[in-house]
Amino acid sequence: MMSRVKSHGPRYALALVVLCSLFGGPALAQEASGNGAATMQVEVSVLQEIIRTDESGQAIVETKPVGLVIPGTILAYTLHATNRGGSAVFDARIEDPIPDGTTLLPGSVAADGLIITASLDGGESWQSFPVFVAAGEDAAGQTVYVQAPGDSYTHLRWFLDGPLPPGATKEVSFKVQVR
Amino acid sequence: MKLFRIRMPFLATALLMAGLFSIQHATAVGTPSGIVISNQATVDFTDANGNALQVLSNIVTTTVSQVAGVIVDPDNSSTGVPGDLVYYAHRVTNTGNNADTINLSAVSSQGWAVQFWADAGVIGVFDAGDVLLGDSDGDGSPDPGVLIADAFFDILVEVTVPGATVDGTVDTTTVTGTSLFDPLVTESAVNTTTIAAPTLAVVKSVAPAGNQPPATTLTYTVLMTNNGTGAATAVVVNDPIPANTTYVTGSAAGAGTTIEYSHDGGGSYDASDAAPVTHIRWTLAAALAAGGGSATVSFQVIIN
Repeated sequence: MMSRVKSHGPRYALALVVLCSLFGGPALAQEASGNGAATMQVEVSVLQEIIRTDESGQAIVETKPVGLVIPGTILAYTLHATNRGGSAVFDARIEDPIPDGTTLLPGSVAADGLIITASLDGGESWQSFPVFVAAGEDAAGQTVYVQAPGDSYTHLRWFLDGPLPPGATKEVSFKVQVR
Repeated sequence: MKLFRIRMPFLATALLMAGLFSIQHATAVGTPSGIVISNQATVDFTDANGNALQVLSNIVTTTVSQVAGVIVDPDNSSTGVPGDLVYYAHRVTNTGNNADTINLSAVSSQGWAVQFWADAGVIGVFDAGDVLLGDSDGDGSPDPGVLIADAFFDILVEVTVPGATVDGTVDTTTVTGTSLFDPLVTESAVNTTTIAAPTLAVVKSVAPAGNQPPATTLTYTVLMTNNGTGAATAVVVNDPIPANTTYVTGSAAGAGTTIEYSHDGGGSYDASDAAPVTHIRWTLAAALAAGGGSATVSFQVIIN
């Protein structure tokens, strides 16, 4: 089932862009009010993912705006980081905690060309995403590593390696499942 | 080789634990209703002058609504004897994400009487500690009261097998738990009762057979065979002395039986076989086992 969800990725990514404007106004934060000052804006939107079965038994993924959700619901978060200033910004780093009460779906994390790191300990330490954790030893005594389960992630970060010019936007996203 | 044997279980255990850990959240009760899932991102960056700056995003919130969840486990099966009360143990669990009342109902496919007990004594068996399950909200359906999220309650379902039930009868009593919060959320467990009743075949034979002159001694033999799937207990055979014949004193036989005689046409019985004997009654000491257990009794008469 998951593979089907992923295979529909591009379709609802499009939907996200369209629906983004439905969500709360962006918090435009200014460091300085002077003309030409570097200013970024980051906007979060969330959509609920619905998986239904069509007449031929094919699973179809649809998205819709979120109001109330029930445990098991998949929420797709999309973050747009835009340079609203008049000059390039550097070393942009987007950070987002995995919301309490939800479990990250690691396969859903999208990078938009950015470098991703993750924390499993509330932001204390960070590792390359996906994170691998020790899971005992094999027959030869070598430590076996497995991908960290989705519910072990607490934070995600995306790093932009290089400048972000005025007006440019980076879009990253991830999905979680409501526990 | 020895190292291999020591380390494999460790690896297996570690992997198993890792697996259980991830499964746990999938099966445990969900996020409590009313919880608000919120998300706010931050962006750190530097401007052209090297000043470190940070901006916060808008906050998106999502509220978790109540969802009902009911589990009634497990399915059970048992044999039952006609006239028995058969008890089945179930655990009723609220798997929803908020407190809920789970109403219970039961339907017997044979239409037998069913009632619920709170399994307050030793879990899984009917004992003196158990009490009839009440109806806490007075809606006409028994329930275990309000169960908080993830709480469970142990019950016993009592199925009454009618006395005259035929051997091999199968009853399925379906126990259903229904969420009061969302009556569309139900779960059922099925209890299958197969009746193991005795089925007695009685064959009476006489020797010599055919037409006989007066003064002939006839030997009657009664063979009882239990062809059912349940033991036959307290088997009593009653046979009248045929008209125009006279019981041969001392001739009644039957291994493992207590033999009594009636001298008044079956009104009363005693241990004396003094004439006149009108009826003979054999009471079997042991049960006739299921699947072919048998017993034979016999007596003689003389044709008048």
